[in-house]
Amino acid sequence: MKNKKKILVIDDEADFTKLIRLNLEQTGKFEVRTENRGAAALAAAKAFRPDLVLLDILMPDLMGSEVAAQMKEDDDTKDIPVVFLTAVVGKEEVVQRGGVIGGHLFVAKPVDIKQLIEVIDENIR
Amino acid sequence: MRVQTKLTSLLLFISLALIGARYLYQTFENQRVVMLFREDNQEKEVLFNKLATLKGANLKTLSVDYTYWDEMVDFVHGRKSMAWAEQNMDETVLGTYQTDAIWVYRLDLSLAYSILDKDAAGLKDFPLSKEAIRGIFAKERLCHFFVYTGAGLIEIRGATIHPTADNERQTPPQGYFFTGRLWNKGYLDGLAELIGGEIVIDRTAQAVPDFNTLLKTNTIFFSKELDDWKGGPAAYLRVRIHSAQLEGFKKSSRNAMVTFIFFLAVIIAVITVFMTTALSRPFGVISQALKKENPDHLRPLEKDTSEFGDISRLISRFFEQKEDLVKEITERNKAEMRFRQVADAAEEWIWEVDRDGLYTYSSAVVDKILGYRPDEIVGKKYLYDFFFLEDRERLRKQALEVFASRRLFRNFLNRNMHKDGHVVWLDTSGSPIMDEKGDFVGYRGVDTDVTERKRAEDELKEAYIRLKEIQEQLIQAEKLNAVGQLASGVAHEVRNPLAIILQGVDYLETKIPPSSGDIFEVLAMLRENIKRADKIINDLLDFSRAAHLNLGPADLGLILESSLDLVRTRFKFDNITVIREIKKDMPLVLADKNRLEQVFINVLLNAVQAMPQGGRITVRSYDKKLEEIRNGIGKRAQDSFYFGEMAAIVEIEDTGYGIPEENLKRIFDPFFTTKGQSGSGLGLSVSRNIIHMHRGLIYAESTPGKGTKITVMLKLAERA
Repeated sequence: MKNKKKILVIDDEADFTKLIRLNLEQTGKFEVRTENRGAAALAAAKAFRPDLVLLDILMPDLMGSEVAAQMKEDDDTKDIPVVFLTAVVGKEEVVQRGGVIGGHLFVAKPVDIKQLIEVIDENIR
Repeated sequence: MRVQTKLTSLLLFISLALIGARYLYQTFENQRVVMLFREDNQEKEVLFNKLATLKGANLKTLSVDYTYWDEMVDFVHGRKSMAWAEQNMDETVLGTYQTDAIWVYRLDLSLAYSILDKDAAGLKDFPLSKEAIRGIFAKERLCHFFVYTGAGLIEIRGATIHPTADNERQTPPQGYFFTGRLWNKGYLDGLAELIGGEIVIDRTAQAVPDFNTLLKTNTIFFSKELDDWKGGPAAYLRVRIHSAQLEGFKKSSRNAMVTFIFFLAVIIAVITVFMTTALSRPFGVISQALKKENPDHLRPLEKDTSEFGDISRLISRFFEQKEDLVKEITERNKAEMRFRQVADAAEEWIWEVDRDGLYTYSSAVVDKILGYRPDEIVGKKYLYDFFFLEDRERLRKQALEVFASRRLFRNFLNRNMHKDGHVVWLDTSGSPIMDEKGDFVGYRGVDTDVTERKRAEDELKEAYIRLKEIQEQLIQAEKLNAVGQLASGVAHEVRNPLAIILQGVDYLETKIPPSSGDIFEVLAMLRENIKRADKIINDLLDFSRAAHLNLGPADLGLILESSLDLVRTRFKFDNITVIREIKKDMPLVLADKNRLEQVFINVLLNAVQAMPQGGRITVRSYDKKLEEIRNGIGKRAQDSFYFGEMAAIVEIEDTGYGIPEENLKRIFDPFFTTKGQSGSGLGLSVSRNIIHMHRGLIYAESTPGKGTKITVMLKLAERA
């Protein structure tokens, strides 16, 4: 299915990435690849070339913000849209700020799949 | 009129009265003199007439007796000889009858006989013609008249001659008989001597001398007309008599007058001397002493035993007392002055009131303390008139109770109103004033302006309370901080599992057949509770995170609109009408837009939740001058606004079920909720913290069953 959009999900919670993958893939619109370590995210992005990255911020080995910064520096990945998925920021705050913090798109956890898909649809390249 | 003038007047009056009396007396005496004079005149005239008659009686007797005599008839008829005539009508007969001549005429008027006294030699013949004699006896038988002859005035008496038997002279006359007496000097002198005056005979009538001249010279004067044989005047007899009686009377009268005047003079002199020594002088002395206000002038009367002595001693005592009194008054004035100076210099208000509480004295400082001048207070205001309106009745009662008990009172703290309306706290002490009889007449006291002290005390008290609050808040904050830290710590850890569960629910929902109603319901419950848990975490984080603001001028209307916009979906769901009464062109407020939005959203969501059956939310904004009495408005350090400051006001009013009185005070407390499991109890607490950080105010008013109004007051940007 060549026309499926490729989503890279990076989160240290393996259960979460798994369920996100299941929920996104069963829509039939997305091809999802997951990664549970920040350090592996850049390589995965370079290899997978996703249309959008869902990135957790607070990860044990490497912060999501660091990953995003590395991606911005790499020519292969610099244009890939990144949506932060985070449990650090409250949902209302994200809503109040229109989903943008420090120039990045934010989605607060917990998020239901419908909202997530809406955000993906709005921002995917 | 001065007493001395009165005395002089009295003296003058007495003198005039006496002079008047003298004048009246004089008039009366004059009248008496005139009367006496007239009486004397009359008496003398009568006397003279009598004398004249008496003197002429011989003449009459002779003429009557010799003319009814048969021998005389015979003689005129020639039946008696000349010798008979010479024998019966000789000089002896003349001497006896004191007559100067006798003429006997026959009926034919021839002279039968005549004899003349040697003194009457000038007479010779009878001085009247025969026709005259016939005329005289044509009607009368007797005659009496005067006639001038060469020898002088002669008085003549005549009669017709009849027989002895005819003494009534009924028979025809047989002849005529005349006898005459010369009124010569000797005769007149004799007459004059008899009446004691002077007799003058004039042949012509003379003017009667002036009465007053006669009176003055004490001369009695009368004149008698001596008739000729025809009845006309032959001569005038004038008699002047010096009235010794009148002279004597006049003399005695004059003496009496002199004596009277003398005594009058003596009496006036005595009265004058008496008045001078007994009245005028003492009066002068007293008057001088009073005029000069010097009791030394009274020394001459020191030992006077009269009433003047008493008066002078009384005046001396009065002067002594006056001196004492003046000294006392001077002392009192000095004391009063000292008191006034102290009273006016003092910071404390010194006052006096009467028994009803009406001010009778006020020191000047009251102007500084209460804004009234003493003249606006004394006699016009009562003790309780300055009490603050709310306290007035209570304080008035207390004051009147103290008055009734006549007690001394100290440090009676009372709230008063300055003339310009601001509150003045006074510390009043007073003590009752009693008069010399011991009767209560009022109170005297001192008021100290303790407004600043009271304010300081209040501020201290409030500061203490605030400190306690802050302490409690700090403790609370510490707790909350701990909760916050915990919350932010666990938020991440909790949200991740929540996210996993939610994704799980989302996945499962796609995997179950639509007919499995119970499973759907369970999944919906899971979803709902995931949201709830998430909200609790968010609220906890908000609460612990409300630490600093990003302040700037903000348009309150826009903030309200965006807040309404963010919750608008809820209005649709819950059948709620929103009424906007947002004032346009409001001044900007100083605010953190996002935080303020958070507050309004919170309040709006609470309103929505309070109206499960739908209703009406009114959102109102306006700016106004703060003139209400409210905690947080005033001059204290902790007050957000000062009295009279312009502020922006937002009111959010719902028609929900309202908040009971007992809950109203607690709704801003952390973790207080009436929403049961659906609320964290942090929403309004966070809102209040945010508003307080804006140095604004938030408060709630509510009527259970009718609705709730939340009011937010914010500082204007240009004033903040």
